[in-house]
Amino acid sequence: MDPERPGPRPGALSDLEAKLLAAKVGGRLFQRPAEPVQLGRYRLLGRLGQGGMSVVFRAQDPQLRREVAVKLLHSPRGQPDPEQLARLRREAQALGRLSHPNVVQVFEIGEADGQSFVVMEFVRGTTLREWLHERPRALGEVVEMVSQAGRGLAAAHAAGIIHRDFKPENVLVGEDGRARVVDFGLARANPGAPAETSTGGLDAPLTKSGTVLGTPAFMAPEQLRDPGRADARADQFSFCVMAYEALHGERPFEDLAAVSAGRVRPPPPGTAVPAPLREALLRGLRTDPTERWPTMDALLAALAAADSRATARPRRRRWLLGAGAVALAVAAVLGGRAWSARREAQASERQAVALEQRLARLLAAGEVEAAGHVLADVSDAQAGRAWTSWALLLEQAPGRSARAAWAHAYVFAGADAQARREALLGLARAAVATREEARSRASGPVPTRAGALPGDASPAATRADALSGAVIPTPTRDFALPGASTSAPALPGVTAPTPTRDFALPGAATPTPAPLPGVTAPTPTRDFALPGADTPTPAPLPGVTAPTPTRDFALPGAATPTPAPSPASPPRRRRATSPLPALPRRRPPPSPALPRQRRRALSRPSAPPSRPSRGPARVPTRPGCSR
Amino acid sequence: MADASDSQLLTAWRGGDQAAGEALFARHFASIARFFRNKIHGDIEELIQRTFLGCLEGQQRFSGEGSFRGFLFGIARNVLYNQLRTNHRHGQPLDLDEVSLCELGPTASAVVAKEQEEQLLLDALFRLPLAHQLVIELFYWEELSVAEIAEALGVPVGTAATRLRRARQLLEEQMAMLTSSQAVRERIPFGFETWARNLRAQQ
Repeated sequence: MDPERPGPRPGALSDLEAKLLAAKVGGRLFQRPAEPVQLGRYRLLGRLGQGGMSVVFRAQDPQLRREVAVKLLHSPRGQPDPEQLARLRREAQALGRLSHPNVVQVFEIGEADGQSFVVMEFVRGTTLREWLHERPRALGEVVEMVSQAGRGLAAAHAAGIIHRDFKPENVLVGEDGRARVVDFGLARANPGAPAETSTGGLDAPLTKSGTVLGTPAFMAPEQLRDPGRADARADQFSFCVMAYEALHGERPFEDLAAVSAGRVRPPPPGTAVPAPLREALLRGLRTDPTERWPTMDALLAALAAADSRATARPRRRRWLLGAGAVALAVAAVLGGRAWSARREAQASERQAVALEQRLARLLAAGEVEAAGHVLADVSDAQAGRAWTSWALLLEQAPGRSARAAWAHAYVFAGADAQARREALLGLARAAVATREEARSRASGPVPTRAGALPGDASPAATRADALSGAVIPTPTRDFALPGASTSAPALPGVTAPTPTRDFALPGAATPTPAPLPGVTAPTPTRDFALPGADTPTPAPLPGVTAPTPTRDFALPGAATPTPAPSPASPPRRRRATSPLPALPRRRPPPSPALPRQRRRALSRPSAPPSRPSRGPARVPTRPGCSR
Repeated sequence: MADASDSQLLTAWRGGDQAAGEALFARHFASIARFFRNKIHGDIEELIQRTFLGCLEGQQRFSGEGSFRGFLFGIARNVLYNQLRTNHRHGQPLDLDEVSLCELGPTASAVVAKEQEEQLLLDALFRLPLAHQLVIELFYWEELSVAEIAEALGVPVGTAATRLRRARQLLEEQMAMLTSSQAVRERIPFGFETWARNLRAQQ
């Protein structure tokens, strides 16, 4: 501890914040108008949040008539530290060079009353940490959100900027559902970056010797040892710690000693995280930076590939089992952990399931029109899911087209990227089905482009930038002959699928094909193929960790042999006892979302698998830049 | 007005003198704002306001003999406890003296530290049972005497002194646990006492 700077009192306020608070409270206490607190031309409206060395205010820019976030040094003891001032300026300069949807936008560096401050885009929303705790999140939803943050990070790297303090508190999720990386307060130019990008004084040393900056729990081992050594792969490590925690509900390392030793915890029991996803993150968590992914883009592509496999699999299960198991399984789910949003989520879940059953009954009775009336009465928040259920039911019914239902599902999916994607895939399936029906009637080929996809028809557009086209999963027509649909003409931008054989014998050993980087949807799976049925050899691409064959969704009761360890996967390490007492982790309140999701996925196969409840989400608007 | 004592100002304010109220507010606003800022994540305006209004309501007696600061912090503590209870709502009733802000979850603390080491110390502080955290804070940062702390906490002076001793002990333990990692321990050459002495010497 530096004796010259014994530290602030806990909760010490910056001058401006004190002024703002005193004006507001004093005004109310003594019934006088609160004097406005100005900073240059900006009028301060309130405090958004604070980080270690800065405080962020919400402010009004009267010239442009917009709200902005103003970040300035937190200096409760008078003069701001020149070192910190330099850091603040560097952050602004670094960000000024960047313009990316997933990086917070910097407008200007201001100066007033002897204070330097940075004016930034005001993001109405929450931090990623809060977003994760708000309500249970589906696996795919979490992957999508952390990937957005990852794209922001990748963009920073491309501009030669290293974040050096990446953590869920430094990612803001706007009300628009867009993630933005903030607080590049520790950013400096990438030591390996091209010369022209590392100008602007970013190379100057930022730390007094012996000062650790950043948040240890998220820091790469080489960064912990020497803060100056942090490069893009250290950011990748932090990103993986964050993504791992978001998905597993706990951090990958027990304590800092485990970080240096590269001792990753075993996955929590009952984890819903598919092996390929976990493997992708574990690679980013390697102790040796050279063993990690070469770039953030490579990691993101691997995540996208792993995720699309995971989200596509459970969907197929619905065609395997009837709706009868639903009620039973819901009852089984009810014993979950204490969780504030649980009741709400459960209630809307029950509603959705009841609705699904009702629709199934109506369809069985042939009362399609009545089902239309029922759907018309569903609240907007629930409508996307209801239409999806209906479309899936229609897909099972012989002679019915699900196209209109998928179109509705698409419309009501709103901002939910995953639901939109599901609806688009449904539309594509409907198109293929229509075409084949036409072909089987008239023997001549009638390649109508029946199911033109609405909008830009590219669900991939919202995903990793690297993705160019989507692979549509298998059109699953349960009783199709193997090979029947292989000749299905491809939709524009869509790779035609291989058919699956849903009703093959269970219990067969089946390797899963390797995920291709940059592919959103699954390679056709053959989970239930006959033993010995042509099992494709997984062809791992260079730079792609071959996934451990997963059998997550094997039929209940089917014998599940132990999956052979994939050669590329690291050997599972036993939890070694550290000679040092464990660092009390600042473990966030357990996020039961994923384990619960998992239970649901396993026990109630016929319900929509990985969908969060669409209850009216309370979005607290703690906008806040940086912590 | 500038040299009027706190209790004189309070009496005048209670008698309807707005200017006296303003003066009292200006004198103690920063301490009270600080008190809430590090314990409540969200808006603290309301809490500061309620604390000062509490002086007028006289639900808690201020005889004018004890310290006004002890009295004011006593009100602030009640306001804080009520707020934490409201935030908590769901679940079992909780003994706020025994629970630490850390356990109360992410909404509770918003600590500021310039340096990693300070952050660790503050982290340790926030792991203490609330009653003990308050004692440390009031003693070291707000420089209340043990008697004033006793007034703020509504306990006998002897109890306050015992609690202060115990709180220091707990804090040292927390610090030791938090710094178990070698890398971090090397960066903390001084113990808490040294640090606190430095702090007090500065003021």
